[in-house]
Amino acid sequence: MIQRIKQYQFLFEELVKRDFKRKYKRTVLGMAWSILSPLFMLLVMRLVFTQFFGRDTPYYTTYLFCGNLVFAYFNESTSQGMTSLIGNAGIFTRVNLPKYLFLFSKNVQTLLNFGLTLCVFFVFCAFDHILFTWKIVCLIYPICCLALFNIGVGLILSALFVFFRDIQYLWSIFTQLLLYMSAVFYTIDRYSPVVKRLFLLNPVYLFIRYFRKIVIEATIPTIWFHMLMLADVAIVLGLGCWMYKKYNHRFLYYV
Amino acid sequence: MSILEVHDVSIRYITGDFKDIGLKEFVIRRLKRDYHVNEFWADRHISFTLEKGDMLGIIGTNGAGKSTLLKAVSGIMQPTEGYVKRNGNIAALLELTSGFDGELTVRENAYLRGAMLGYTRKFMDDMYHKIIDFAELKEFQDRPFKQLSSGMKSRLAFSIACLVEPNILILDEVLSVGDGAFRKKSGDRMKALLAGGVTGILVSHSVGQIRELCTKALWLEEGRQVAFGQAQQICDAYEDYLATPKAKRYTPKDQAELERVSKDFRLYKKLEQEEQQKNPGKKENAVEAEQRWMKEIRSWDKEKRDRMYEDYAIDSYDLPVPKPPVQNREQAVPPSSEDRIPPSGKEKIKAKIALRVCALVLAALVFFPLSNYLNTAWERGQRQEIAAVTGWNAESPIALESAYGDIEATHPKVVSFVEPWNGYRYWISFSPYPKADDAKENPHILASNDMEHWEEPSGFQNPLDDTPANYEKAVVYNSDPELLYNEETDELECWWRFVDDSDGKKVSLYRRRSGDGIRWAEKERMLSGDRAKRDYLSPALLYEEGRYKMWSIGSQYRIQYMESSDGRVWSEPRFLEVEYASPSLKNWHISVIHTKKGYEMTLASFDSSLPSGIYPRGVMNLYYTKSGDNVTYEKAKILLTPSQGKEDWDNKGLYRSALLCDTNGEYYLFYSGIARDETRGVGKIGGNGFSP
Repeated sequence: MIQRIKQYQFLFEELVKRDFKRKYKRTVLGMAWSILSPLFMLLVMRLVFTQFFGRDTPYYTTYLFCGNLVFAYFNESTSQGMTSLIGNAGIFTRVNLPKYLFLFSKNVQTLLNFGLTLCVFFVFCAFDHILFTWKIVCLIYPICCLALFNIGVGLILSALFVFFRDIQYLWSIFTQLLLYMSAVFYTIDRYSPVVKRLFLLNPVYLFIRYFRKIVIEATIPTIWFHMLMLADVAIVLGLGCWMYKKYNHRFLYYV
Repeated sequence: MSILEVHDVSIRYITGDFKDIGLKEFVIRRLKRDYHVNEFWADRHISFTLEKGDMLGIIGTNGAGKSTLLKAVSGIMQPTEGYVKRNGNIAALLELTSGFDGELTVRENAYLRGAMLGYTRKFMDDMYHKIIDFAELKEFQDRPFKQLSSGMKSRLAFSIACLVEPNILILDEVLSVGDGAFRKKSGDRMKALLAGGVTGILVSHSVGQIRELCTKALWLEEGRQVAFGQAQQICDAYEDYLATPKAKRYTPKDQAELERVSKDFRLYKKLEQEEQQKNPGKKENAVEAEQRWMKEIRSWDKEKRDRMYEDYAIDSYDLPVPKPPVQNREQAVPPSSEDRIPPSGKEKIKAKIALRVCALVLAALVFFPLSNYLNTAWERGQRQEIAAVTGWNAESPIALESAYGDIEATHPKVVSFVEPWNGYRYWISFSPYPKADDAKENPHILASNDMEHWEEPSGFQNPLDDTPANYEKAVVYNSDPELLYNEETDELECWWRFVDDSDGKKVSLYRRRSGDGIRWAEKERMLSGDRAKRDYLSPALLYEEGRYKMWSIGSQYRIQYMESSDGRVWSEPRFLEVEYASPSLKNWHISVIHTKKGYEMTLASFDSSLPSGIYPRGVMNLYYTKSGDNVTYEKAKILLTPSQGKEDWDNKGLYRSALLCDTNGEYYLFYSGIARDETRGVGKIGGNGFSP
C-alpha cells in the first residue's frame, strides 16, 4: 500500500495542481469564491429565517453557519466528485492508472476550500460571542469522518455516473431535499422523540449536530454518536471501494 | 523468459445493454419487445510472445481490433478470456494527444504526462530540459497547451514517452506525426531505444514504417489473428491483401500459404521494377499494375513459380519460427492472469483476511472501553471548567434532623428576621427525602440563630404534616415545602404541594400558619386542580404589597407566575421565559427572593439532551437569573455545580435551592445536593460578600 502511495504520489500532486489551476483559471477572485458562496448562502438564510427560527435558537448565526459549512462541503465534494471519473476518461482509457486518484484529487481541493471556510467560521464564532474551549480540537473527528464520507459518496456517485448519466440530475434534486432534511436552518426541538430519532439516520445531520454540540454547547457527543458516524462512513466507503474494485475494468466500455 | 506473453486473449464488448442505452431507451425497447444485448468480439484468440529487443508491428485494416489489443496489453482493459503476462514496466502511448489539458501550460502538461507514465518528480526535473529540447518547444514552454499545433502536441507526447527507457514501449499511431525532420528524428530515437534492448509495440497504417522499424508483425483482421511472425513476410502479404479488391480479398490460412503470398508479392515487385526499366515511359496505375501482375503470377503452376523465385533470388526469410497458435482450445490453459492467485496463495490470503478481522475485533474491544473512559473524562473535564468559576461547594451538609432520625433534607427555604422572632432569627422549611422515599417527604420546620445549629422550637414537634393516610409511592404523597413570612398578620406560613394520582391526576397546595412557630393552625387547602393540565411544582411564594405572589413550574417545564390577595383565588398564570446557554436546558425547581436587585431566582435545571441511561434530574446544576420587573429575566448563568471530590456529599447533582439575603445584605445559598451513593442533604454557602 505504502509502495503504491509512493508510486503515485507524483501523479497525485500533479492532478491536484491541475484541478486547482483549472478551477480558478481566469477568475478575478480565484479561491475567494469558494469562501464567498457559503457566506452569501449564510447571509440570505440569516436574513430570511431569523424571523422564524432565530428568536428561540441561541447563537443562531453560528447555528446556521455550522449547518451551511458542513452542507456546502458535502454538496461541493460529492457533486464535483461525481464527474471526476468521466471528466478524466481521456486519461484512464489510455493510461493504466488507479482511477480513484481523480476523485481523491478533487476531494483534496474541496477539503482545502472547506478549511478556508472553517477559518472564516471561527471568526464568525468569535463575533457571536462563542466561548472557545479545548473541545474545539474534537472537531477533527467529524472533519475526518466527513472527508472520508464524501470520498465514499464520491466513489459511489462517480461509478454510477459512468453507467447512468441521469444520476447527475437525480443527485441535484436529492441534495436540495437533503438541505431541508438536515436541520440546517431550523431546530428539531419541536419534533416528537420518534422523529428526532429519524434525524439520526441522516449522516449529514450527524455531522452538523456534532459541530453544533462542540461549538455552541461545548459538549462532546456520546460514544454512540461517534460510533454511528463511523458506521455511516464505513458503509459508504466500503460500498464505494467495492464498486470501484468490481467495475475497475468495465468503466471504459461506457465512457 | 519472454518480456511479454499474450495468451489466447479475447475481448468482448457488450452493446445495447441497460447501462449503455439508459433508462428511457431501456423502458421503450422493453415495451416494444425490442430489447436485446449485442455482444461483439473486438479480439478473438490472440496469442503471441515478445522477447527482449523485439519490435512488434501490429497491422490490420480499420476495426481490426488493434487498439483494443493494445489496451489489453497495457493493462487498461482486462481480457474477457485469456491472459497477458508482462515482465517489466510499460510506457503506453495510446492516441497521444488526448489526456493533455488545454488550459495548462506546456511545462505543466509535461509534468502531468510524466507523472502518468510513472516517472518520479526528480526524474522529471532532471529530464525536463532534454524533453523540451527534443520536442523543439523551448520557446513555447510557458504557453497554454491549446495554442500549440497538433504536430507540436504530438512531438511533446513522443518526447516525454521516449526519453525514458521503459522495458516495454507501446506506440499507437505515434510516429506518423510531426513534419519530415521530426519523423526522422523520432525514428532514429526509436531505433536507438530498440538497440538498447527495449521491447516495443507499434501500431501504424504505414507499412513502410513497420518494415523499417519492426522485427515482428502481428496481422489482425476483424478481431482475428491472421498471422504473427517475421515482419517483412507479413508486410508482403498484407500489402498484397490491401491491393486486392475488397470482394476478392482473402487472408492466408497457414504459414506455407503466407510464405507463398510473400514470395509472390516480392516477385511481382521485381518484375514490375524490371518492366519499369525496360519501358520507362509507360504510365500505369500502381494498383491496376499490381492486380495484373498478381493475377498473372497466380496463374502459373508451382514449377514455374519455383523457377521464377530462383531466377529472381527470392528466398524464404530467415525466420525464427514463431510458436504455432494454440491448436486445441479446449485443452488450452484455463484463463488465468498474473493477477490470479494459485490455490496455495488463496489460502494465504484467507489467513490474512482472518488475521485482519481478528485485529479489527481486538481493536474494537480496546477502542470501546477506552473511548468510553475518555468520554467520561471529557465530561468531567467540562464540569471542572465550570466549577473553576464557581467552585466552592459546602464541605458538608448542615444537620437538619428530621422526625425520622435522618439528616437527608432537601428543598430548603429560609426566612430571616432582624430581631429574633419568637426567639430565633432564622426559620427554615424543608422535607426529608432519604433514599428518595416520598413517604418521608413531609414538610418540616426548624429554627436557628446562627444558620448552623437548627432545632425544633420547644413545644413544637415535626413533621408539620404526616404521611398522607392514603399514601402510595409516587402516587399519593407530600412534597415541595415553602416558607414565607406574612408581615400583615405577623405569621409564618408553610405551604406545600400534595399530589394525589390515585383517581385522576390531582394536585393541591396546602398551608399551615403560626404566630409563634410552635402552635400551627390546621392545614387549609389553598389551591387544587388537575395536574395533567396545570401543575404547581416547586411553588416559590412571597407576601408583599398586600398580596401573595407565586412562581411555580407548570406543564412543559414553563415558569408560571400568579397572584392572589387571599391565597385562595388566583390570577391566570403569566409565563416567564428564562433563556439558557443551551436550548436543551429545562426548568425543574425554582425559588425566588425579592431584594434591592429585584426578583432573584435560583433554578435547578436539567439537560434534556443527556444520553439515555443518565437520569437528567439526578445530575442538575444550579442557575441564577434576575429581573427588575418580573417580566423579562436575564439569560440564566450557572450558579453552582456538583462538587468533584470522590467522597463529597454533593458530587452527583444539585436540587431545589433557596437564596437568602440576610438583613445585613449578605447573601447565603441553601442548596440540596445528591451524592453518587444517593444520599442527600442541604448545604449552606455564602456570607463574606458572596453575591450570586
